[in-house]
Amino acid sequence: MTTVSVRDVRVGDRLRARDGTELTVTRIDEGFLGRPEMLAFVEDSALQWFKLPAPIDGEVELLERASSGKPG
Amino acid sequence: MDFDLTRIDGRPLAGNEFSGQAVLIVNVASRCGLTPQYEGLERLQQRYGDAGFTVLGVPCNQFAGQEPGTPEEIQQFCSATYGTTFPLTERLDVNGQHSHPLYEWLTDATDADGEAGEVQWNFEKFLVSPAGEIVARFRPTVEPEDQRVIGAIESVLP
Repeated sequence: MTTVSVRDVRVGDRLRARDGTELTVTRIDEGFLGRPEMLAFVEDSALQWFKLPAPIDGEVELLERASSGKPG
Repeated sequence: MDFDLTRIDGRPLAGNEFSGQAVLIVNVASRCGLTPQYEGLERLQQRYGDAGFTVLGVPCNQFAGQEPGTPEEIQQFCSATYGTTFPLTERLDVNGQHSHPLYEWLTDATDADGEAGEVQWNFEKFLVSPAGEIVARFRPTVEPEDQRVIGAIESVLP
């Protein structure tokens, strides 16, 4: 499993949430429910709409980078 | 509300069943930090249910996958853990290209800050008047028994 700092996630990256849902980030929302120490990754596509909040200083599972293919 | 819905047990739920009632529509999830809001929602149901009001819960799994269960599991969780008596719909999408028409309508409404658009998270609340108009929108962290919610409900009871 490859993880990446939440701060380093970019639009186009493919992530896996704890529940197993995979999402391709199409938008990153700053803050979450009024909490500046959080942000939210959103996939808003024809395939699905899914929101995954994360603490800015945390890590998230990365499945694929937007530009350079598989992580690692 | 002119929307055809399905109850969580699979039976149809026509929007016009709520004609003449005030309805607080809430997207719910069983594994969310806000899930204890079920307690306040049920207290609203008990307090105003005989006065032309109902809560309508809408299970949704679009927020971090926090509503993953089967319909039976969702219903069992709500009734056994929180003793809920208000109706639940089947699980719906509330945001995105596949959102249910009910939510396409609801999300045009603005909140107290004048913001419309996407549902932010689980337990966002929309109050629909007995006349079928959206009269208030409360974001997820506004508790069900917040005075703003209570006041809005009491102002539209038939």
